[in-house]
Amino acid sequence: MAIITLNSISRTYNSKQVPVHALNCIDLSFDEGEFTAIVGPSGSGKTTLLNIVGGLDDPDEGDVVIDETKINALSGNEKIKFRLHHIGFIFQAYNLIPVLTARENVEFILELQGVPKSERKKRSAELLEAVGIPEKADIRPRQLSGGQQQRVAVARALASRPRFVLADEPTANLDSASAENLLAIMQELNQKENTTFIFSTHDERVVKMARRVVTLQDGKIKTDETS
Amino acid sequence: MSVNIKRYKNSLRQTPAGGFTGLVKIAWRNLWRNKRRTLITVSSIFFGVIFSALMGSMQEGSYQKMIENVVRFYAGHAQIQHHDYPDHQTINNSFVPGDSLLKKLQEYPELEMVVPRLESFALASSGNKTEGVMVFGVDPEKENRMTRLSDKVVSGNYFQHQGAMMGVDLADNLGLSVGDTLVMISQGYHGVSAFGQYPVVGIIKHPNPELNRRLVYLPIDEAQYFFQTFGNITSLALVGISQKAIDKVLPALKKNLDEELTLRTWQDMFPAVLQQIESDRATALIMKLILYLVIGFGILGTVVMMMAERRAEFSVMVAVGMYRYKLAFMLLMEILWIGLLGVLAGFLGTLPVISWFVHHPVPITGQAGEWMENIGFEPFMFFAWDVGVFLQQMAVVFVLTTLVSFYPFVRAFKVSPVIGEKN
Ligand SMILES: Nc1ncnc2c1ncn2[C@@H]1O[C@H](COP(=O)(O)OP(=O)(O)OP(=O)(O)O)[C@@H](O)[C@H]1O
Ligand SMILES: [Mg+2]
Repeated sequence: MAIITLNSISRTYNSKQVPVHALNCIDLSFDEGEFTAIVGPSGSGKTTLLNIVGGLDDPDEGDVVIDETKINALSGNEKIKFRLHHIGFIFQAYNLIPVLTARENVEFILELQGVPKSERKKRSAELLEAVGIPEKADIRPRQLSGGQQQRVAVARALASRPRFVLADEPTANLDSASAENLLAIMQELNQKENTTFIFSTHDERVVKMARRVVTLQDGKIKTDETS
Repeated sequence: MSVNIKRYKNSLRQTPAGGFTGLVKIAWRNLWRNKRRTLITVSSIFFGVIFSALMGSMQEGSYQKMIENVVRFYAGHAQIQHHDYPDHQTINNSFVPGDSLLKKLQEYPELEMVVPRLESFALASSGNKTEGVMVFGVDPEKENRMTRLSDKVVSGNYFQHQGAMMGVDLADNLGLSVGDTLVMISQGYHGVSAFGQYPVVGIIKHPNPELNRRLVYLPIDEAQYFFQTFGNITSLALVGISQKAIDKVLPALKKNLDEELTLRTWQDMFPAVLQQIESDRATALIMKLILYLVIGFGILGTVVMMMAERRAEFSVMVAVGMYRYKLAFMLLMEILWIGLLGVLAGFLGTLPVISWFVHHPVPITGQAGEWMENIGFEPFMFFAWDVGVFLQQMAVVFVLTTLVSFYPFVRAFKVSPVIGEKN
């Protein structure tokens, strides 16, 4: 059952005079519970694709349908609300609010949703446990290692039990041990919480852990393999 | 399945206030992220408040002193005069302060003093020297209570019921000293001729040199006798317990006056003083505006820098589902926290500083000081203890920070959820 469907998505950046076709007529769908890697050389359109799926950016042509919602047709605030409730995000860096502790960062999303405090506490404790750093709950990001910060980001992305999680090169700033570790955690949560994960990466070792690998090149799908 | 149900519940739980208390907390913590910058910004507001309050207090202090010089030592807050006296200041336009008028004036607790005067001109002579003089017929006791005239006596005594007092230069010019006799002639009420001789009981050194050359004080009955006005006076000076108090009763007073009388405020009588205060206020306002601009742009500078540094952070917040208006609210809180801290610190700093200056007026030395003394002012820079002035400056500086917070507020609504993308 597809939860995300991309119908002939195109995105062109008009930087300076030369238009860049970042995505060129992409058709793609993702099923519930998938654990998918988007790979491809630098500039192939991975970030652009994830931004469009997440409603952070709009396609110039085509539609993004999530469940029954055509999210590129939503207004700005509707998109924000949609993201808050249905999508988890993990970025390469700057994920966490620097003045909040790990726990508060996880609870931030829930607070925006108006989830009561007791429930927020329960959920953040559960997730910090799941990502393996319960002892860091009251520490601010500055005092966490890069890998620990990304684990908090994973916990935050899952806090509101989103429909799916988008992660743009979540391991790019990590050493390979931390990277594999993070992926293992993501994999486990993918199964335990039945949350769909779509992540982009350059890292071969990380790619191996994905069940499905979509390869982009010059804004087009080069291969789409499921193992 | 259970996941779906939970998700459904979540989507119903969007409360509009969701996260606002959290945002206040984040805003507060953000203040201390860059402690040095926050402290610099807070101190620029702090000094802004102190300087502008100090300036305001100095201004008001000098105005109060100027007004006091006019009001307390000369004119009173207002004077009751004959209707025609303002245009023709002659003894013929004098009036009798009737019992009913005096009684009426007593009914106002806002009035502290009611001081009668008879003013006119005469020729004073001694031997073969003659000078034109101003004769002030005053009630010795009341006049002294109002103007502390006795403080200005440099030789002899302050008069009681008889005799004359005169300016020190006038006495020199006429070759008179205490115990000598002053002879005056003039035209009295409705053209009768006036003649009198008075023992000089006191010599007065008035700060105003012109008055020193021209002043003769007589007890008011003597003056009335001299000018043959019998009971008439030229003015009834009114001193209120404060300017505010007198401003409140003036309209009623004015309405109740007899038709032949008129009421003139010190502002009516000395428009130049008022003009000087107003032009000084305008100059000071320009200086304050410059000060405000400097502070305002100082704060704006740090705010612009802060916004540039935190762009990625704001993008992430919007990306993960925070409404931009909440971001705007958070940034507003941050700036307002800074403004509040600065203004509060400024207020607490202002109190001791101004209190010190109020009790230790700054002496003005050199030529400026001499000049001030010559025109009858004390050579000091006075500061007023006027809480209204502090509050006003605090309010202005706070409004200033609020204005500055427009920048992040407006920018917040343009934050892109894509990290690194220009909005
Ligand atoms: N904001 C933008 N303005 C102009 N061109 C852009 C912008 N963002 C991306 N591009 C261009 O679009 C193309 C796709 O970029 P994208 O960031 O999606 O690639 P990517 O696969 O994520 O690359 P990387 O692996 O380096 O992150 C590139 O040619 C890039 O230069
Ligand atoms: Mg990228």
